Amino acid sequence: MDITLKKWHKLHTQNIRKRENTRIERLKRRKLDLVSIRSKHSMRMHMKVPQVMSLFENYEETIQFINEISESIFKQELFVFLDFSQCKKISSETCVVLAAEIERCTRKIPRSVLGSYPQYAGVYHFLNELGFFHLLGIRSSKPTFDDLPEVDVVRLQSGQDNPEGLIKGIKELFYSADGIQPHSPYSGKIYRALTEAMANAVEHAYPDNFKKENTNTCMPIWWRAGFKLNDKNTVLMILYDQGVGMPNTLKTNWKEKIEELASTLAREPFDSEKLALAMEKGRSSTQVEGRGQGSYDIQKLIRESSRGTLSIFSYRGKYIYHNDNQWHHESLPLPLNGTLIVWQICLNALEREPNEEKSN
Amino acid sequence: MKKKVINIAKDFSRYPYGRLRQYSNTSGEAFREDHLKPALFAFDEIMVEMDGTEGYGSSFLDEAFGNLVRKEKIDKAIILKKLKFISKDDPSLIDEINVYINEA
Repeated sequence: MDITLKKWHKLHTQNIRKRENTRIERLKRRKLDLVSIRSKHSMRMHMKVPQVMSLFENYEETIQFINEISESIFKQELFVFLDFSQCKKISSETCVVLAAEIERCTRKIPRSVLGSYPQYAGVYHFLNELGFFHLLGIRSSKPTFDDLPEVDVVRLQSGQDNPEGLIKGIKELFYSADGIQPHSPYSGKIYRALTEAMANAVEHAYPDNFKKENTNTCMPIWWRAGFKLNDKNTVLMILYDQGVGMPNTLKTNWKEKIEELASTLAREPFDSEKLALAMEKGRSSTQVEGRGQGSYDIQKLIRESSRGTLSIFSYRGKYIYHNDNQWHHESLPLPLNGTLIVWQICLNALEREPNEEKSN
Repeated sequence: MKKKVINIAKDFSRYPYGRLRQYSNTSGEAFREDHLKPALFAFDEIMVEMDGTEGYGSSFLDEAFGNLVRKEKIDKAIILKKLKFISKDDPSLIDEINVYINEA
Protein backbone atom coordinates (compact mmCIF):
# COMPACT_ATOMS: atom_id res chain seq x y z
CA MET A 1 0.00 0.00 0.00
CA ASP A 2 1.55 3.31 -1.01
CA ILE A 3 1.77 6.27 1.39
CA THR A 4 -1.08 8.32 -0.18
CA LEU A 5 -3.48 5.39 0.08
CA LYS A 6 -2.47 4.79 3.70
CA LYS A 7 -3.08 8.45 4.47
CA TRP A 8 -6.49 8.36 2.78
CA HIS A 9 -7.39 5.19 4.66
CA LYS A 10 -6.45 6.81 7.96
CA LEU A 11 -8.52 9.91 7.24
CA HIS A 12 -11.49 7.82 6.12
CA THR A 13 -11.37 5.77 9.33
CA GLN A 14 -11.24 8.97 11.37
CA ASN A 15 -14.26 10.35 9.52
CA ILE A 16 -16.27 7.20 10.14
CA ARG A 17 -15.41 7.29 13.84
CA LYS A 18 -16.35 10.94 14.06
CA ARG A 19 -19.68 10.29 12.39
CA GLU A 20 -20.37 7.33 14.67
CA ASN A 21 -19.66 9.49 17.73
CA THR A 22 -22.29 12.02 16.72
CA ARG A 23 -24.84 9.41 15.60
CA ILE A 24 -26.87 9.40 18.83
CA GLU A 25 -27.08 13.15 18.87
CA ARG A 26 -28.17 13.25 15.22
CA LEU A 27 -30.90 10.69 15.89
CA LYS A 28 -32.10 12.66 18.91
CA ARG A 29 -32.28 15.85 16.88
CA ARG A 30 -34.18 14.13 14.10
CA LYS A 31 -36.60 12.81 16.66
CA LEU A 32 -37.15 16.29 18.07
CA ASP A 33 -37.84 17.60 14.57
CA LEU A 34 -35.05 20.08 14.84
CA VAL A 35 -34.01 19.49 11.24
CA SER A 36 -36.53 22.07 10.04
CA ILE A 37 -35.14 24.67 12.45
CA ARG A 38 -31.64 23.98 11.21
CA SER A 39 -32.61 24.51 7.57
CA LYS A 40 -34.06 27.91 8.45
CA HIS A 41 -30.77 28.84 10.07
CA SER A 42 -28.49 27.49 7.40
CA MET A 43 -26.34 30.66 7.52
CA ARG A 44 -23.98 31.17 10.48
CA MET A 45 -22.86 34.72 11.14
CA HIS A 46 -19.25 35.25 12.21
CA MET A 47 -19.15 37.74 15.10
CA LYS A 48 -15.89 39.13 16.46
CA VAL A 49 -16.04 39.65 20.22
CA PRO A 50 -14.84 43.21 21.06
CA GLN A 51 -11.38 43.66 22.60
CA VAL A 52 -12.78 44.95 25.90
CA MET A 53 -16.01 43.41 27.13
CA SER A 54 -17.02 45.37 30.21
CA LEU A 55 -20.23 47.06 31.29
CA PHE A 56 -18.22 49.47 33.44
CA GLU A 57 -15.45 50.35 30.97
CA ASN A 58 -16.98 49.85 27.52
CA TYR A 59 -20.74 49.72 28.03
CA GLU A 60 -22.01 50.70 24.60
CA GLU A 61 -19.91 48.35 22.49
CA THR A 62 -20.40 45.48 24.96
CA ILE A 63 -24.19 45.76 25.06
CA GLN A 64 -24.44 46.32 21.33
CA PHE A 65 -22.51 43.11 20.77
CA ILE A 66 -24.59 41.08 23.24
CA ASN A 67 -27.87 42.38 21.83
CA GLU A 68 -26.74 41.55 18.28
CA ILE A 69 -26.42 37.87 19.22
CA SER A 70 -30.09 37.41 20.06
CA GLU A 71 -31.17 39.74 17.26
CA SER A 72 -29.35 37.58 14.71
CA ILE A 73 -30.83 34.37 16.06
CA PHE A 74 -34.41 35.35 16.87
CA LYS A 75 -35.07 38.15 14.36
CA GLN A 76 -32.79 37.48 11.39
CA GLU A 77 -32.86 33.69 11.90
CA LEU A 78 -29.09 33.44 11.55
CA PHE A 79 -26.96 31.17 13.70
CA VAL A 80 -23.82 32.81 15.06
CA PHE A 81 -20.17 31.92 15.62
CA LEU A 82 -18.40 33.92 18.34
CA ASP A 83 -14.78 34.62 17.53
CA PHE A 84 -12.89 35.37 20.76
CA SER A 85 -9.50 35.73 19.10
CA GLN A 86 -9.32 39.51 19.57
CA CYS A 87 -10.94 39.72 23.01
CA LYS A 88 -8.28 40.83 25.51
CA LYS A 89 -10.39 41.54 28.55
CA ILE A 90 -13.76 40.45 29.87
CA SER A 91 -15.13 41.61 33.19
CA SER A 92 -16.93 39.31 35.60
CA GLU A 93 -20.37 40.94 35.27
CA THR A 94 -20.11 40.82 31.47
CA CYS A 95 -19.26 37.10 31.64
CA VAL A 96 -22.58 36.51 33.39
CA VAL A 97 -24.66 38.64 30.99
CA LEU A 98 -23.02 37.08 27.93
CA ALA A 99 -23.35 33.54 29.29
CA ALA A 100 -27.02 34.16 30.13
CA GLU A 101 -27.72 35.40 26.61
CA ILE A 102 -26.02 32.37 25.09
CA GLU A 103 -27.86 29.98 27.39
CA ARG A 104 -31.18 31.58 26.44
CA CYS A 105 -30.40 31.32 22.71
CA THR A 106 -29.13 27.75 22.82
CA ARG A 107 -31.96 26.53 25.04
CA LYS A 108 -34.53 28.03 22.68
CA ILE A 109 -32.68 26.92 19.51
CA PRO A 110 -30.01 24.25 20.15
CA ARG A 111 -26.55 24.91 18.69
CA SER A 112 -27.58 28.37 17.52
CA VAL A 113 -24.38 29.78 19.06
CA LEU A 114 -20.95 28.25 18.56
CA GLY A 115 -17.59 29.81 19.24
CA SER A 116 -13.85 29.56 19.60
CA TYR A 117 -11.53 29.59 22.61
CA PRO A 118 -10.02 32.97 23.51
CA GLN A 119 -6.31 33.53 22.95
CA TYR A 120 -5.80 35.61 26.09
CA ALA A 121 -5.26 33.81 29.39
CA GLY A 122 -7.39 36.19 31.48
CA VAL A 123 -10.42 35.92 29.20
CA TYR A 124 -10.08 32.15 28.88
CA HIS A 125 -9.71 31.57 32.61
CA PHE A 126 -12.72 33.68 33.59
CA LEU A 127 -14.98 32.04 31.03
CA ASN A 128 -13.68 28.53 31.58
CA GLU A 129 -14.14 28.65 35.35
CA LEU A 130 -17.65 29.97 34.87
CA GLY A 131 -18.58 26.96 32.69
CA PHE A 132 -19.02 29.14 29.62
CA PHE A 133 -17.47 26.85 26.99
CA HIS A 134 -19.89 24.10 27.90
CA LEU A 135 -22.66 26.46 26.70
CA LEU A 136 -20.85 27.02 23.42
CA GLY A 137 -20.49 23.29 22.85
CA ILE A 138 -16.80 23.49 21.88
CA ARG A 139 -15.34 20.03 21.39
CA SER A 140 -11.74 20.82 20.49
CA SER A 141 -9.07 20.44 23.17
CA LYS A 142 -8.63 23.33 25.60
CA PRO A 143 -5.67 25.68 25.17
CA THR A 144 -2.94 25.83 27.79
CA PHE A 145 -1.63 29.02 29.37
CA ASP A 146 1.31 29.60 31.70
CA ASP A 147 0.08 32.59 33.68
CA LEU A 148 -3.53 32.31 34.70
CA PRO A 149 -4.99 35.08 36.87
CA GLU A 150 -5.75 34.30 40.49
CA VAL A 151 -9.54 34.06 40.43
CA ASP A 152 -11.87 31.70 42.31
CA VAL A 153 -15.24 31.35 40.66
CA VAL A 154 -18.63 30.04 41.72
CA ARG A 155 -19.87 28.53 38.45
CA LEU A 156 -22.78 30.09 36.65
CA GLN A 157 -26.13 28.77 37.81
CA SER A 158 -29.57 29.49 36.46
CA GLY A 159 -33.02 28.72 37.76
CA GLN A 160 -36.09 29.92 39.62
CA ASP A 161 -35.90 28.25 43.01
CA ASN A 162 -33.45 27.00 45.61
CA PRO A 163 -30.73 29.40 46.70
CA GLU A 164 -28.75 26.51 48.27
CA GLY A 165 -26.16 25.99 45.53
CA LEU A 166 -25.23 29.63 45.21
CA ILE A 167 -25.14 30.28 48.93
CA LYS A 168 -22.75 27.38 49.53
CA GLY A 169 -20.46 28.55 46.74
CA ILE A 170 -20.52 32.21 47.69
CA LYS A 171 -19.81 31.48 51.32
CA GLU A 172 -16.82 29.37 50.40
CA LEU A 173 -15.37 32.43 48.68
CA PHE A 174 -15.76 34.40 51.91
CA TYR A 175 -14.66 31.65 54.32
CA SER A 176 -11.52 30.88 52.34
CA ALA A 177 -10.26 34.32 53.38
CA ASP A 178 -11.34 33.88 57.01
CA GLY A 179 -13.61 36.82 56.37
CA ILE A 180 -16.78 35.62 58.06
CA GLN A 181 -17.99 32.63 60.01
CA PRO A 182 -21.06 30.49 59.28
CA HIS A 183 -24.24 31.65 61.04
CA SER A 184 -22.71 35.00 62.00
CA PRO A 185 -24.96 38.04 61.53
CA TYR A 186 -22.87 39.07 58.50
CA SER A 187 -23.33 35.63 56.95
CA GLY A 188 -27.09 36.11 57.40
CA LYS A 189 -26.88 39.48 55.63
CA ILE A 190 -25.23 37.91 52.58
CA TYR A 191 -28.03 35.36 52.43
CA ARG A 192 -30.60 38.07 52.95
CA ALA A 193 -29.32 40.33 50.15
CA LEU A 194 -28.97 37.50 47.64
CA THR A 195 -32.29 35.81 48.33
CA GLU A 196 -34.22 39.10 48.30
CA ALA A 197 -32.73 39.98 44.92
CA MET A 198 -33.45 36.45 43.61
CA ALA A 199 -37.05 36.58 44.87
CA ASN A 200 -37.56 40.01 43.26
CA ALA A 201 -36.18 38.70 39.97
CA VAL A 202 -38.58 35.77 39.87
CA GLU A 203 -41.67 37.47 41.33
CA HIS A 204 -41.49 40.85 39.55
CA ALA A 205 -39.10 40.73 36.59
CA TYR A 206 -41.27 38.58 34.33
CA PRO A 207 -44.88 39.82 34.40
CA ASP A 208 -47.46 37.60 32.66
CA ASN A 209 -48.00 39.92 29.70
CA PHE A 210 -44.22 40.05 29.06
CA LYS A 211 -44.02 36.24 29.13
CA LYS A 212 -46.99 35.93 26.76
CA GLU A 213 -45.62 38.48 24.29
CA ASN A 214 -42.18 36.83 24.27
CA THR A 215 -43.05 33.12 24.48
CA ASN A 216 -40.44 32.16 21.89
CA THR A 217 -37.56 34.08 23.41
CA CYS A 218 -38.28 34.53 27.13
CA MET A 219 -36.84 32.27 29.87
CA PRO A 220 -38.27 33.51 33.20
CA ILE A 221 -35.26 32.63 35.35
CA TRP A 222 -32.22 34.29 36.95
CA TRP A 223 -28.54 33.68 36.46
CA ARG A 224 -26.04 34.02 39.28
CA ALA A 225 -22.33 33.61 39.86
CA GLY A 226 -19.60 34.63 42.27
CA PHE A 227 -15.98 35.65 41.77
CA LYS A 228 -13.11 36.17 44.17
CA LEU A 229 -10.35 38.32 42.70
CA ASN A 230 -7.44 37.15 44.83
CA ASP A 231 -5.06 39.93 43.78
CA LYS A 232 -7.56 42.54 44.98
CA ASN A 233 -8.92 40.37 47.82
CA THR A 234 -12.40 41.23 46.64
CA VAL A 235 -15.53 39.14 46.29
CA LEU A 236 -18.10 39.86 43.58
CA MET A 237 -21.60 38.44 43.74
CA ILE A 238 -23.64 38.79 40.58
CA LEU A 239 -27.32 38.24 39.90
CA TYR A 240 -28.95 38.79 36.53
CA ASP A 241 -32.42 38.42 35.03
CA GLN A 242 -33.63 39.12 31.50
CA GLY A 243 -36.99 40.53 32.50
CA VAL A 244 -38.65 43.88 31.85
CA GLY A 245 -36.23 45.81 34.06
CA MET A 246 -36.94 47.56 37.36
CA PRO A 247 -37.92 50.95 35.83
CA ASN A 248 -40.66 49.20 33.84
CA THR A 249 -41.88 47.20 36.84
CA LEU A 250 -42.19 50.44 38.84
CA LYS A 251 -44.58 51.94 36.28
CA THR A 252 -47.20 49.48 37.56
CA ASN A 253 -46.20 48.87 41.19
CA TRP A 254 -45.17 52.44 42.11
CA LYS A 255 -47.51 54.37 39.85
CA GLU A 256 -48.30 57.13 42.36
CA LYS A 257 -44.68 57.72 43.39
CA ILE A 258 -43.57 57.87 39.74
CA GLU A 259 -46.31 60.41 39.00
CA GLU A 260 -45.22 62.43 42.02
CA LEU A 261 -41.63 62.42 40.77
CA ALA A 262 -42.79 63.41 37.27
CA SER A 263 -44.69 66.40 38.62
CA THR A 264 -41.64 67.50 40.67
CA LEU A 265 -39.34 67.23 37.65
CA ALA A 266 -42.01 68.59 35.27
CA ARG A 267 -41.13 65.80 32.81
CA GLU A 268 -41.18 61.99 32.52
CA PRO A 269 -38.45 60.66 34.87
CA PHE A 270 -35.50 58.86 33.30
CA ASP A 271 -35.07 55.16 34.04
CA SER A 272 -32.07 55.93 36.26
CA GLU A 273 -34.20 58.34 38.31
CA LYS A 274 -36.92 55.71 38.72
CA LEU A 275 -34.25 53.23 39.80
CA ALA A 276 -32.89 55.67 42.39
CA LEU A 277 -36.42 56.24 43.64
CA ALA A 278 -36.94 52.50 44.09
CA MET A 279 -33.73 52.23 46.08
CA GLU A 280 -34.42 55.34 48.16
CA LYS A 281 -36.41 53.53 50.81
CA GLY A 282 -33.56 51.12 51.31
CA ARG A 283 -31.13 54.01 51.81
CA SER A 284 -33.18 56.05 54.22
CA SER A 285 -35.27 53.59 56.24
CA THR A 286 -34.25 51.30 59.06
CA GLN A 287 -34.72 47.58 59.16
CA VAL A 288 -37.72 47.82 61.44
CA GLU A 289 -39.78 50.12 59.23
CA GLY A 290 -42.50 48.88 56.96
CA ARG A 291 -42.97 45.65 55.08
CA GLY A 292 -40.92 43.59 52.65
CA GLN A 293 -38.01 45.93 52.12
CA GLY A 294 -36.10 44.22 49.31
CA SER A 295 -34.11 47.35 48.46
CA TYR A 296 -33.14 47.73 52.12
CA ASP A 297 -31.77 44.18 52.27
CA ILE A 298 -29.93 44.53 48.96
CA GLN A 299 -28.13 47.72 50.07
CA LYS A 300 -27.62 46.81 53.71
CA LEU A 301 -24.91 44.27 52.87
CA ILE A 302 -22.85 47.09 51.35
CA ARG A 303 -23.70 49.69 53.98
CA GLU A 304 -22.36 47.40 56.70
CA SER A 305 -19.13 46.54 54.89
CA SER A 306 -16.15 48.74 55.53
CA ARG A 307 -15.49 48.88 51.80
CA GLY A 308 -17.98 47.89 49.15
CA THR A 309 -20.09 48.96 46.19
CA LEU A 310 -23.45 47.93 44.85
CA SER A 311 -24.06 48.46 41.12
CA ILE A 312 -27.44 47.99 39.48
CA PHE A 313 -27.95 48.14 35.72
CA SER A 314 -31.60 47.94 34.72
CA TYR A 315 -32.97 48.68 31.27
CA ARG A 316 -31.79 52.27 30.58
CA GLY A 317 -30.75 53.12 34.15
CA LYS A 318 -27.63 52.61 36.27
CA TYR A 319 -27.44 53.06 40.05
CA ILE A 320 -24.28 52.91 42.15
CA TYR A 321 -24.31 52.75 45.96
CA HIS A 322 -21.24 52.93 48.22
CA ASN A 323 -20.79 51.75 51.79
CA ASP A 324 -20.63 55.35 53.08
CA ASN A 325 -24.25 55.81 51.93
CA GLN A 326 -23.11 57.84 48.90
CA TRP A 327 -24.93 57.05 45.68
CA HIS A 328 -25.41 58.28 42.14
CA HIS A 329 -27.35 57.31 39.05
CA GLU A 330 -26.97 57.82 35.33
CA SER A 331 -28.80 57.05 32.11
CA LEU A 332 -27.47 54.31 29.85
CA PRO A 333 -27.08 54.92 26.10
CA LEU A 334 -28.44 51.47 25.20
CA PRO A 335 -30.93 49.37 27.16
CA LEU A 336 -29.73 46.32 29.04
CA ASN A 337 -32.01 43.35 28.60
CA GLY A 338 -33.29 42.98 32.21
CA THR A 339 -31.58 43.76 35.53
CA LEU A 340 -28.03 43.11 36.68
CA ILE A 341 -27.01 43.45 40.33
CA VAL A 342 -23.34 43.38 41.36
CA TRP A 343 -22.17 43.41 44.98
CA GLN A 344 -18.46 44.12 45.29
CA ILE A 345 -17.03 43.59 48.76
CA CYS A 346 -13.44 43.99 49.92
CA LEU A 347 -12.47 41.10 52.21
CA ASN A 348 -9.70 43.02 54.03
CA ALA A 349 -12.37 45.37 55.27
CA LEU A 350 -14.72 42.53 56.12
CA GLU A 351 -12.32 40.81 58.49
CA ARG A 352 -13.15 43.46 61.07
CA GLU A 353 -16.83 42.64 60.85
CA PRO A 354 -17.22 39.88 63.51
CA ASN A 355 -15.56 42.02 66.21
CA GLU A 356 -17.66 45.02 65.28
CA GLU A 357 -20.76 42.90 65.56
CA LYS A 358 -19.78 41.69 69.02
CA SER A 359 -19.07 45.16 70.30
CA ASN A 360 -22.51 46.41 69.22
CA MET B 1 -51.36 24.96 78.54
CA LYS B 2 -50.51 23.28 75.21
CA LYS B 3 -47.04 24.22 73.94
CA LYS B 4 -45.25 23.60 70.68
CA VAL B 5 -41.71 24.23 69.46
CA ILE B 6 -41.07 24.97 65.77
CA ASN B 7 -37.42 24.83 64.80
CA ILE B 8 -37.38 26.43 61.36
CA ALA B 9 -34.09 24.84 60.25
CA LYS B 10 -35.18 21.32 61.29
CA ASP B 11 -38.93 21.41 60.74
CA PHE B 12 -39.06 23.58 57.62
CA SER B 13 -35.81 24.42 55.80
CA ARG B 14 -32.27 25.65 56.33
CA TYR B 15 -32.84 27.84 53.27
CA PRO B 16 -36.03 29.87 53.78
CA TYR B 17 -36.46 31.95 50.64
CA GLY B 18 -38.99 34.14 48.89
CA ARG B 19 -42.53 35.26 49.48
CA LEU B 20 -44.90 33.00 47.56
CA ARG B 21 -45.25 29.23 47.31
CA GLN B 22 -45.67 29.35 43.54
CA TYR B 23 -42.05 30.52 43.24
CA SER B 24 -40.40 28.70 46.13
CA ASN B 25 -41.12 25.58 48.17
CA THR B 26 -39.45 27.20 51.16
CA SER B 27 -41.34 30.51 50.95
CA GLY B 28 -42.90 32.59 53.71
CA GLU B 29 -46.33 31.60 52.47
CA ALA B 30 -45.48 27.88 52.73
CA PHE B 31 -44.13 28.35 56.27
CA ARG B 32 -47.19 30.33 57.36
CA GLU B 33 -49.75 27.94 55.88
CA ASP B 34 -48.06 24.65 56.80
CA HIS B 35 -46.57 25.48 60.21
CA LEU B 36 -47.59 28.76 61.83
CA LYS B 37 -51.31 28.84 61.08
CA PRO B 38 -52.07 25.25 62.18
CA ALA B 39 -49.98 25.74 65.33
CA LEU B 40 -51.78 28.99 66.24
CA PHE B 41 -55.13 27.20 66.11
CA ALA B 42 -53.99 24.10 67.99
CA PHE B 43 -51.62 25.41 70.69
CA ASP B 44 -51.55 28.08 73.40
CA GLU B 45 -47.86 28.90 73.10
CA ILE B 46 -45.56 28.41 70.11
CA MET B 47 -41.81 28.80 70.50
CA VAL B 48 -40.25 29.59 67.11
CA GLU B 49 -36.52 28.80 67.00
CA MET B 50 -34.94 30.96 64.32
CA ASP B 51 -31.29 29.79 64.60
CA GLY B 52 -29.67 27.23 62.32
CA THR B 53 -30.89 28.57 58.98
CA GLU B 54 -28.73 30.49 56.51
CA GLY B 55 -30.74 33.65 57.15
CA TYR B 56 -34.07 35.35 56.40
CA GLY B 57 -35.07 37.86 53.76
CA SER B 58 -37.58 40.56 54.66
CA SER B 59 -40.13 39.28 52.14
CA PHE B 60 -40.04 35.82 53.76
CA LEU B 61 -40.57 37.29 57.23
CA ASP B 62 -43.31 39.68 56.17
CA GLU B 63 -45.18 36.99 54.26
CA ALA B 64 -44.86 34.44 57.07
CA PHE B 65 -45.68 36.69 60.05
CA GLY B 66 -47.23 39.93 58.77
CA ASN B 67 -49.71 38.05 56.64
CA LEU B 68 -51.00 36.09 59.62
CA VAL B 69 -52.87 39.35 60.22
CA ARG B 70 -53.52 40.55 56.67
CA LYS B 71 -54.35 37.29 54.90
CA GLU B 72 -55.29 34.87 57.66
CA LYS B 73 -57.22 37.54 59.61
CA ILE B 74 -55.87 36.35 62.97
CA ASP B 75 -56.02 38.93 65.74
CA LYS B 76 -52.69 40.70 66.38
CA ALA B 77 -53.03 40.37 70.16
CA ILE B 78 -53.48 36.60 69.89
CA ILE B 79 -50.48 36.25 67.59
CA LEU B 80 -48.25 38.33 69.84
CA LYS B 81 -49.43 36.47 72.92
CA LYS B 82 -48.94 32.98 71.49
CA LEU B 83 -45.74 33.40 69.45
CA LYS B 84 -42.40 33.43 71.28
CA PHE B 85 -39.02 33.57 69.56
CA ILE B 86 -35.44 32.42 70.09
CA SER B 87 -32.83 34.02 67.83
CA LYS B 88 -29.35 33.90 69.33
CA ASP B 89 -27.53 34.26 65.97
CA ASP B 90 -29.32 37.51 65.12
CA PRO B 91 -31.51 38.92 67.94
CA SER B 92 -32.64 41.87 65.75
CA LEU B 93 -34.86 39.43 63.83
CA ILE B 94 -37.31 39.33 66.74
CA ASP B 95 -37.87 43.12 66.67
CA GLU B 96 -38.25 42.99 62.92
CA ILE B 97 -40.93 40.26 63.09
CA ASN B 98 -42.82 42.17 65.77
CA VAL B 99 -42.87 45.22 63.50
CA TYR B 100 -44.24 43.16 60.60
CA ILE B 101 -47.05 41.90 62.85
CA ASN B 102 -47.82 45.27 64.45
CA GLU B 103 -47.80 47.19 61.16
CA ALA B 104 -49.90 44.62 59.30
